[in-house]
Amino acid sequence: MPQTGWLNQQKLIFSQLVPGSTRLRCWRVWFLMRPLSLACRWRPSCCSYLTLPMILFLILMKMIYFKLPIIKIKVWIFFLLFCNRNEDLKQMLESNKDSAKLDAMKRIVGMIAKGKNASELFPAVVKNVASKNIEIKKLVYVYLVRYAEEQQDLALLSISTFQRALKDPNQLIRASALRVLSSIRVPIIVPIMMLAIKEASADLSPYVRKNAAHAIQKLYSLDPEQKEMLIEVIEKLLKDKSTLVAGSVVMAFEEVCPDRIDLIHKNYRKLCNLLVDVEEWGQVVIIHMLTRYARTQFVSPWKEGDELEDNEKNFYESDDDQKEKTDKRKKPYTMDPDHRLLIRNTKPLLQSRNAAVVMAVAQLYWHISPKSEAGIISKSLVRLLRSNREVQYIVLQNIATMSIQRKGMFEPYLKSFYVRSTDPTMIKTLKLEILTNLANEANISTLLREFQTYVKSQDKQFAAATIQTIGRCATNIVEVTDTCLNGLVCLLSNRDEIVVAESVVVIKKLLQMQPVQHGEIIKHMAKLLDSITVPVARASILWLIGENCERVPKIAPDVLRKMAKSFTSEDDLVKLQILNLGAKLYLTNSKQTKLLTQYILNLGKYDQNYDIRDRTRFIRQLIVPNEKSGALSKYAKKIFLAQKPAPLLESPFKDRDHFQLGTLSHTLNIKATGYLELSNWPEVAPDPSVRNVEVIELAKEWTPAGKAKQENSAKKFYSESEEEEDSSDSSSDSESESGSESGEQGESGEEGDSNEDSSEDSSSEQDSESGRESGLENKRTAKRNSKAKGKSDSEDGEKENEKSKTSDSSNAESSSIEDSSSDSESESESESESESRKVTQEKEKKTKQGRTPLTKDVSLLDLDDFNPVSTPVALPTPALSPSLMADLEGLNLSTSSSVISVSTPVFVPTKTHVLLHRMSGKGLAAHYFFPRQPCIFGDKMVSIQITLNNTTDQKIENIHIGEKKLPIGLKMHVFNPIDSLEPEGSITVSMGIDFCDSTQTASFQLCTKDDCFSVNIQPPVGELLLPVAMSEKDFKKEQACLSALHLLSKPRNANRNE
Amino acid sequence: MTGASTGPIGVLEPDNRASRQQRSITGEKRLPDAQSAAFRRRSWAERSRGSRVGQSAGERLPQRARWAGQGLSAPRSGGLCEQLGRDYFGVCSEPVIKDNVVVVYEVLEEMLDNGFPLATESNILKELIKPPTILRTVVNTITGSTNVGDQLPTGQLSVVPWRRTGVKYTNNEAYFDVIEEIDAIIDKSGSTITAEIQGVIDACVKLTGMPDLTLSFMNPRLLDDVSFHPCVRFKRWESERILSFIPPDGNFRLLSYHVSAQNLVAIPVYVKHNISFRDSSSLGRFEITVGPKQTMGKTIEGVTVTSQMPKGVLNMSLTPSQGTHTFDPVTKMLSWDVGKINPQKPPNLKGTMSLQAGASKPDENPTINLQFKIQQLAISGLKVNRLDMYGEKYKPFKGIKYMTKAGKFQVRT
Repeated sequence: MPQTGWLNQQKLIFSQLVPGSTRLRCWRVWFLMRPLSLACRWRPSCCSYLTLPMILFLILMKMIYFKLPIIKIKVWIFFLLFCNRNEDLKQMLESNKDSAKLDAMKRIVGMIAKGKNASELFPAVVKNVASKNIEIKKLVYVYLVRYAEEQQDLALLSISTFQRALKDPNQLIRASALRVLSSIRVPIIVPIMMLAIKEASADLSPYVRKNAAHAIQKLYSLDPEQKEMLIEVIEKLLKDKSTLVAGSVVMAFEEVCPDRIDLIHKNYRKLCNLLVDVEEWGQVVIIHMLTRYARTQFVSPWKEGDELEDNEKNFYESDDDQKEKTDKRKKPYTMDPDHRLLIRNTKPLLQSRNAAVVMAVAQLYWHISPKSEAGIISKSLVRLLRSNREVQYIVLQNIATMSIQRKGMFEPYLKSFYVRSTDPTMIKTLKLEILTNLANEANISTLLREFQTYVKSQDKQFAAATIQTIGRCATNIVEVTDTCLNGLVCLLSNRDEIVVAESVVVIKKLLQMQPVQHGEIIKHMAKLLDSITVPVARASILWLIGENCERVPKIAPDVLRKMAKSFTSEDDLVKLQILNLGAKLYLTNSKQTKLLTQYILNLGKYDQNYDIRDRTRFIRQLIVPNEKSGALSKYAKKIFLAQKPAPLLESPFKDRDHFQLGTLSHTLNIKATGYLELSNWPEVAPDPSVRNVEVIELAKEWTPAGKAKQENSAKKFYSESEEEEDSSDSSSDSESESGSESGEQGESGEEGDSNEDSSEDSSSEQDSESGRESGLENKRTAKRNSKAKGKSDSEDGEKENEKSKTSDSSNAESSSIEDSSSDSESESESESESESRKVTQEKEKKTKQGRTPLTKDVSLLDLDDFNPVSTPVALPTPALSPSLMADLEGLNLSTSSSVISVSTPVFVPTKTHVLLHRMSGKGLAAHYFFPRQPCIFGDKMVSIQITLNNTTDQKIENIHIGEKKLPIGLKMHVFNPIDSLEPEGSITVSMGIDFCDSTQTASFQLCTKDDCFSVNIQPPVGELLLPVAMSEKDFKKEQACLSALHLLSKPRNANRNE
Repeated sequence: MTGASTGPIGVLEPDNRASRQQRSITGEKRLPDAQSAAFRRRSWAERSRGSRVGQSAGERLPQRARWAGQGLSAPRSGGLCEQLGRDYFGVCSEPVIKDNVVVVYEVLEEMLDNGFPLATESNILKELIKPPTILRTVVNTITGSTNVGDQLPTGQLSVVPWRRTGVKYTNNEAYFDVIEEIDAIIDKSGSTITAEIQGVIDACVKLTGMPDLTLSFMNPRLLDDVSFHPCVRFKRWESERILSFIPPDGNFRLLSYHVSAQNLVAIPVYVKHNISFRDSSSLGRFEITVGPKQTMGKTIEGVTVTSQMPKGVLNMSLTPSQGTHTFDPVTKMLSWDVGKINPQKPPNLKGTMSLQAGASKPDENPTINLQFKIQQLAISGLKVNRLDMYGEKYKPFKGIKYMTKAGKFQVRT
């Protein structure tokens, strides 16, 4: 009997609970347990809840027989029920029959759905993960995803099954295994997940690749440290031309690295062309991404006049080449063909049945299309108003924002926004808002008639909103102001208090705007004071009378008299206004009201609210002349009866336009987490040729998509960059060289393949002297190494890169990267390489007088000599190995070499930090970034590159570093002073700071001829590390010295800076 | 039942529509068939019984029984999850979901991955997770097979992801319903403030293999703004104004359209009303007459009048000339199920309202909401010209049906 052990245990428990002598107790318990044991034997075959009540009934009867107290019985029943149930499920899960297992799993899922804790079944459930039955398997997956995070150790039991399933011939099983594996949030399996994602991203089935893209986001949220590797996978998947994958990978891109817009360049046209065939949800994501992309890559199609001119910091500025900041602006605007392509290809999607897609296209048109073309979206948006109210709400909000800026778009659809009495209030108010925005001289009469019906609505909140709206229309359209005012006055006799109060408030605002004689209305309102009780309305009336007290000389004192009577029972808001009224009357008509005012002031003096006491004191001092009151009381009349500025009645949607339409942030009018700011249009378009897809590459990796390379644009690029180089780089000594070099850079950039990471390393020797932003530049120069020889032997270079990439992606060992890059370098015999070396050598000579230090030259040359010595660990590509364990073992191959070589970084972030904002720097902007190169100023120093921009229209002279405020131990090597910086010019200098391995802030002053700005640099920890390559053995050795680091499970090829 | 729409109409609209399909509707219009193929008259109810097992006719959804927060981006007016729920279980309600919690889990698991939609096409989902039917449950218990498909639906990877492969029917049939809804606001005096026509073409296509259909209209210019099922080839529509598509299997919405606002909308009914509250007495008078206006010779049926009375109304004593009426004194909702309108004797509801004693008369008059439908008429005048099939050899049965309904039809008093 399998139950016996358990039963004995239960008996033990019960024996402690049941009173009576030991023998009797045992007997009782046994007797009690009999039905239970019966049930246990019975249940797996019956598998039904029907038996349970029966057993309970039996137990209950026996308990009553033994006269146990009722409460105890209850406890017992619950206890039995609980134990019995899970025990029973466990047995079912362990049975041989699939049907029993399935039944158990269904019940467990039911428990999860009801919110019951089923975690104690974890071991029993996990065993079934290998079940052949696909439904059981799926349900186990559901369970695992839910509970794996709680029971991490046990969850590991299932991993091997997933790894096997990842090799399954059935793509559905492969995909779902990957899905569940990536959904299990257990940090230990991150490397396994990473490996699985990499494998799946190369799967033949697009469905599996799609799931790999989904897994990327999950892994990223579990362990953001994997970002770099994930970006590689994203890069690979972005090239996928299956429509199934496109949406998912863009989603992953948006989650993981939305700022790496450079990955999109090559795929831009493909995405645009595939867009129509991508599934709906993918379309939404892609459209949003392309909107952001377009805003950074194309110049504004909007005409100069109506462009929004707020110069927020463009967050892609670092990536954009600013080289073309020549006089391109003056040219007449012609739309980039790629820009046009996007607009054209998204147009059919306006006809989508999916509201989200239509909304996404609408925002795309709104944000990036020429203003004349944006009109076509209105029809589709109005169509969406037919769907359910949640959709309506979002769409109306967006329309409200749009209608403020471009009235004409929605004017033909005015009637579609008429309110129905069955609309919920939130929809009603939004529609009202839109109607107000659309109101103009032509349609105001119709609208006002419509508003009249709304005012009578049973929904009082809506009626009040309508009154506000009428007020706004009255101020916006001068012709109808009087009509509106009259209408509002009529409403004053309305029965509903809320309506009247709202009217009073609005009339007050209107009258304030029109300092004309409106005595009649004021008199009417004064009468209302007797009946109306809403404090805001009363306060409004009192204020209005006070303001116009000279126009109603008879009524005002009388009102004050009445108010003085009821002063004590009024609301605070009203009391304040009574005080104001009294003061104003005292100043204008002191003969009649002196005593009254005194009385009110006395009342106010002893009021409970200190605001009112304060105000009383203040007014008394100001208006009542006595010896203490100073010069101010002379001006009291001017103070109190000054002309007040009229309030501006504005749309509540006025400030929403800075959010991208269709986003959550726009809906909430708060910046939500994960919101990606839509940048402003660049003034000058970044190089359009980056989107050209290389033909060779196409032939190799895909079937040719027939996208021709644009020769002329490349040429244009070439010449322009050369020109610019000459002009901006004024102090450059070797002009001819730098010119030719930049040309090369341009070319390599333009035909550069995506294989950047491997080529990036040995690079960027020139960026310090070319006065540009360094991010893109870096890559350009990097590519020059691999690409320049590609000119002579492009096939070879290609293969080389390919090879280096695979080895690189398979294991993050930087030594192998170094190896490959050094290989490619040593292979390169072409003239460009030698030339570049010559150039750098030449420059090295000139360093002493030159303003910029040549950090990277040294490292490059070093590497060339250095690399053959180091014997890196060459590994088989584990992407093909059957399981992770084998991979991990593979890493253990020991090598005899014990060289620790400084390797170049695999990835240099293009992210720059703001050192000095142009606003605070009086036009001088400074950004810095860490080039991750060994510093030439000292081996303990961290090299930092600072890019200085002059955004003013005058020369900035003598830029240098002034006073340094460094914490103890920190050292700093400053850059040489810059004589002058041309307007719109920018210059990059490098400096070194020894942070003493701490993240202390280095503060110093950045000085120009006239000003000093204090700035500071605080390094992220990661930037203090120096990448080195070392063998496994050495690492172990070093690691042993650092006992605290022993927890690191895999070799890290990073060492401290010293 | 369905006619008595008491809740907020805007929200319950899709449900009403769906349930109304359940009603037996007779008289489909014969298609002017070019191929002179046989075609068949058959009621929707019959068809639905074939496709939706266990669907009780005309069940109304509780508003909260939507599956998940579909709020922002429901593709169709019913909400995606709700629609799927109906596809799977016939109705989508709380008890049904509770009963089928495992299937719901399985389906959601296929639909979403980490919050991102994975597969939302119901055809694909049904292949992955088969809907539970009584027959299948029996078969499963005997053979031990499951509701979960073990192969990736072929449609997923093909160019037509909405259609599964290997579809086989003995009776090949394609039915199209042109349903138009009039949204209107009628003034106190009976003049139209705003009126527009929104239409949909719902299809039920059960054809073997991979048929390629083209549907053309007599007057496609009427269609001002359209949105398509993804299967429709947009280019063809742009150039020739022809709907060309490979249909999904089963029921789907082919097209929704909006008839351009320039065309004057014929309002098929009029409502005469006389609702008055007197200041002095605690009684008010109430009278409504509904009659046909421009119906093009068709009868108006399924007429329901609902009205939210002001709070001051305590009770109403009314006598209808036809149909039944109810007044809920708590929600102050009056509803009158009129039924068919006889043009000779327009139905009328007359009586008195008892008002709260002492309270002043309510200054607003109630709005009257109207529901009705007209068979065999598309009020915009849209007509399907012909339906052709390519790609398969057999001759399908084809049918088209027109219907006009009231959408958000309001009469202000």
